[in-house]
Amino acid sequence: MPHNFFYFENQIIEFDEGMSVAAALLRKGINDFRQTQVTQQPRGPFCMMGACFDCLLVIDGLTNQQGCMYLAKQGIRVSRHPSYPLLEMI
Amino acid sequence: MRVAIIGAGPAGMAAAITLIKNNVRVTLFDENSGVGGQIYRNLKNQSDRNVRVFGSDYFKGRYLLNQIEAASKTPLLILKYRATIWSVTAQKQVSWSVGGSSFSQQFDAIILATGAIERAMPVEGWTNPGVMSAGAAQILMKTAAYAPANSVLIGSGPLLYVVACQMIEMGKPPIALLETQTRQDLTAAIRQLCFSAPMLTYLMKGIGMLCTLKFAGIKRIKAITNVRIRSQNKHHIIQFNKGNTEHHIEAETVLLHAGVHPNIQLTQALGLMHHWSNENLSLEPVTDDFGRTTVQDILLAGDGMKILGADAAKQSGELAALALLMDTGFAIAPFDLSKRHAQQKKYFRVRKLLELLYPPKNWHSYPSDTTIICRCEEVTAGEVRHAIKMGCAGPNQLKAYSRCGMGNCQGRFCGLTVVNLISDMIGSPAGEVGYFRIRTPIKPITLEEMANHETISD
Repeated sequence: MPHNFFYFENQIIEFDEGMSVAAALLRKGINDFRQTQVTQQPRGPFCMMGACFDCLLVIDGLTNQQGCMYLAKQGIRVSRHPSYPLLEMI
Repeated sequence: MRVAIIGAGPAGMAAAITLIKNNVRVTLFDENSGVGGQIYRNLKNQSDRNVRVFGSDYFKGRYLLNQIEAASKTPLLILKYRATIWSVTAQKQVSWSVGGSSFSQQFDAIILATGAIERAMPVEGWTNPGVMSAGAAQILMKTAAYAPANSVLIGSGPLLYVVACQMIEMGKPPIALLETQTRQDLTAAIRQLCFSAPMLTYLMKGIGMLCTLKFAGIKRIKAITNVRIRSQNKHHIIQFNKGNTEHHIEAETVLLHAGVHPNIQLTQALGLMHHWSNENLSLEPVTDDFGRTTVQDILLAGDGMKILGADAAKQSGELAALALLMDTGFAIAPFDLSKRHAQQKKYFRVRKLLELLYPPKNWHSYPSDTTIICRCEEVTAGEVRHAIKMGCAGPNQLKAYSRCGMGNCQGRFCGLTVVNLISDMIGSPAGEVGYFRIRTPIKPITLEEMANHETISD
């Protein structure tokens, strides 16, 4: 088991200290993070500086987390952001 | 006096250092986990061997970092990292969120140094995964030592070359640069050449980067237009025109860049006066030469006021701090102000040259009808044009017509395109079109964060 890792759906993603979740995923070749609200198109990181909100992920059960601003931490559970989380919850 | 400084890039750090030297208490906020801003991002943790990759321009930021580090050991400086500012009021109350809780504090004065964001370059396919901004690639290199392989950079501006050269140094040279500037732009820019230290420094840097690209055998195609990107998995086909012929090129990552403009979310939310810059083709907050705004004791510094680059940002941070000290009755030698102001003017000339050399082009400033311009709400340029034909009067009414600008990013990436499209359709100058009304909170926060609210008193 690698030292620094988090879970992304059914995968284990390694990261280095100080890396954002988005950077760790991109390095692993994962670039589709969410589906858009209107037309369910795939989206991924665009600006990497917290401005565009295209890298939204679900992290440890919390929706709408900016992957580029969220520092990767040991053992967190990350998944793609669905299109209509509120409807699914109802 | 306690001063809040928002943004810990070169402008914010320099302002903080100047105030602290005069025994003023400073709280320095940044959304990232350390000081440096985007230009000196993650500099603290960078090893010396990366000088080759990021260059001496990046490492000279250590001078500011060290001074902030020393000041943070005194009671004069409070550093607030990972703090998302969501409100700043004209009464100088600052509200922010950190780690799921929110806080407010009353300050006596505020210096906003919120920097720049990259100009949107809306082309067909710019929303596909794997299409990013050039700045995003640089952040990946600085924070994760990762550069995407087999990329194509599209657009124009100094950052395009900086990123391409850094990718070469990291062993991931881009396939090609598709550049939008034309020979006419070069002719217009050349007239701005003059002999000043900043001008020569920039020229040397520019020539150096172009040599690096040539030596590495990177293909540069200039005067390209009408970019369209088709993506499937990690494979992108970029179609573009050069002259009257159509070409295409393939890439694994596409990086767009059409220059940068001031990040005006906070200054707009504050209701400060803005004007349209015919040079930068963007909105800029109105300030005097020292960063004073239309609200007393709220000052601006750095690229968030006017795009001039890191060296000028440092100086404008010092200028804003000195102006604030003078306004609040501190004894400042007038020489300090005038000397820095004279230096600042030299950067204006360099900037003018860059603006003429790398202007945004009409084909992406006024995108085709099928191009998405509002990434969040997925609104196309055609829908915006239709709304205007139906009688939509301005950017704010456009929200009601189309939801354009109403998503998470709150107009950060569609605002200027909307101004361009409306200006074009109704035939008014861009400066008379107005802008989205930006409201607090300027970044989405949860009800829980608002409920866990604490007011900090000094």
